[in-house]
Amino acid sequence: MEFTGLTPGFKLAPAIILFAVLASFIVVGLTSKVQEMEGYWVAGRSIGPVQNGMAIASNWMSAASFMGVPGILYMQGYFGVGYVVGWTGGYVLLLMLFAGQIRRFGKYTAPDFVGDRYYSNWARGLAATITLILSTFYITGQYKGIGMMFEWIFGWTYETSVIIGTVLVLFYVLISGMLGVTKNQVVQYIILILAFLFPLFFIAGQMGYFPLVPQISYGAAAYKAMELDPNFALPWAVKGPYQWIALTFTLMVGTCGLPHVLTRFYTTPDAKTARWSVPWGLFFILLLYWSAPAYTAFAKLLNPDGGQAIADVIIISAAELARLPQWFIGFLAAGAVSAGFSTVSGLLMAAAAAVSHDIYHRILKPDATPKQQMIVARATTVVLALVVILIALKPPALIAQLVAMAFAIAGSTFFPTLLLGIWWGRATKQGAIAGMLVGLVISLSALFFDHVPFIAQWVPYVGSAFIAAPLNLLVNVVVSLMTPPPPQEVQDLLHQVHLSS
Amino acid sequence: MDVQTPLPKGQESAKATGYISFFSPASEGMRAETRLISIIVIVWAVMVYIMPVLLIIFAENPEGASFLTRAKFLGFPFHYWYATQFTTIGFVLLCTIFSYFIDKVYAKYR
Repeated sequence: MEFTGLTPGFKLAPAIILFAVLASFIVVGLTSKVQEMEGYWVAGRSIGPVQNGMAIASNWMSAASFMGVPGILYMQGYFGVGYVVGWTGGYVLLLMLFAGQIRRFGKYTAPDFVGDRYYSNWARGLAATITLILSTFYITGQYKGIGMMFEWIFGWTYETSVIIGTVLVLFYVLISGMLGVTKNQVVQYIILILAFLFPLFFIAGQMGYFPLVPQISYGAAAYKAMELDPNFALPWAVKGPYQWIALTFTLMVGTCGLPHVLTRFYTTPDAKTARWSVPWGLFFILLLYWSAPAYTAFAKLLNPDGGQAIADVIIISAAELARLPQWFIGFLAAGAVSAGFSTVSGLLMAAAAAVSHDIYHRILKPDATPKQQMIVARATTVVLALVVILIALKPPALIAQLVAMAFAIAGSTFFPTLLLGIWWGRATKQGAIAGMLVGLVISLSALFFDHVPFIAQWVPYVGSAFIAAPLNLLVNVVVSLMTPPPPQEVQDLLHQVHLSS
Repeated sequence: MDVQTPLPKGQESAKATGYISFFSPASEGMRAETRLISIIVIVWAVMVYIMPVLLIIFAENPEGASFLTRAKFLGFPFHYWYATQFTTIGFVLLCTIFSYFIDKVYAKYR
């Protein structure tokens, strides 16, 4: 079998569909903004668990889920399955250990929570810096995805596609911001999931598998693919068991520290709705994560030796080789690009807020005017976008791996800090700062010393939280016990957060 | 969780003193909550990691082939189906079960 690439050249129908989808997001956002202002005074319009669940899922679905998961499954087989498990299982921990408490604590970003709970601007600044670092990796993965899709739709080179894609994202963020577009994430979710699912029905049908439930009927394709190539599914064919365990653990604990995840609990009317939106959200996410491996199994049979170059666009390759009409594949590509766009815009805003609010306003210049803060936020957005272009032009890894780096950093730094912050009143600011620094140093070292065999084996950069999170926790506990206890206000706050009276 | 002695009756309703701690809950309600969390964390960990442990134990070659990978379930290699579908739907069930029981805990104690 030989390498089969994608069809080159400009494709009119997919281009039109892409602009139609992005424009519909802006139009729907404007309409729902009007509704919101009218409904605001009429009745306390509130968002229920099903709607908030769709919003959680829409936030979560990025180019990493759309393109990265099928790509990593294609390249790394059962090790890639660790990404599916890791990117779903974290919600169980998030729900039990954080969701209700964070809702009652009233701080929905890691820097805000850390700054208040650990009564320290240094802790806040450190958390904001970490948010900035992990957002960079997260966005780089999205840009790579957007670039590869633009390459397919418009027929440009990858480099041109990344640069134009970035400029378009900035425009999209700017236009949405100026028009005051509220993200209607329920509509976004429905469009994205349909764009992902529909082509799959037809691919399954074309290949002779039961088309109505490809999520089940691809089983036989997966079995066949495993027989043809053991790397596709045999457990330890690509990486060993330790690495699988470290990867899943890292992605699960990392889920709890990402800037765009906790924020979703802000929009619910109460803690109960916040909790019930998690099982719903996870269910909506699963519709995608049950379907991504089906794309990969079909792609493996159609294009067995595509390799690293095609992995991240393997869904497009599968659709083309199954002879789906081009306009139909256009929906898939448009879905992937818009998933990337909405995630990038959310992360750029989170990173800009971390710099302008948590670092500039709270630490460097407490008397800064709102206008000055706005300038800092805009400058951050542009600088960050430029930095990410530079990294994305020569992407060091697959999309899923780039995004997993963000999870490794979040899991190594924020997970233990939030866990102790909520569940152990004795944790002090010194403990939190020392713990976060240890986690940050380990997760970044794993990244930069990946060429050292010992580190690649035992502290792989996509699995570094397996070592770093427990160490962070230990350091936090030991340092806390050696330093003076937190002030009474923090204790009182924690007693309000918990069922303690 | 069960080894801790319960707080005297009067102390529960008083403004709680001392530090919040997962391992020594400040009230009956929090004790019920931490017990529920502990049970579900254990089920969660077993559900995710039992399969890799079995795959290590029964591996017949370095690639990990065994009866678990040869067995077919709904057409899938069994271990592949377990990780991609069983554990993930299991997560949704665990979240639902937790939300259901924690509602009861909150209804009773708050």
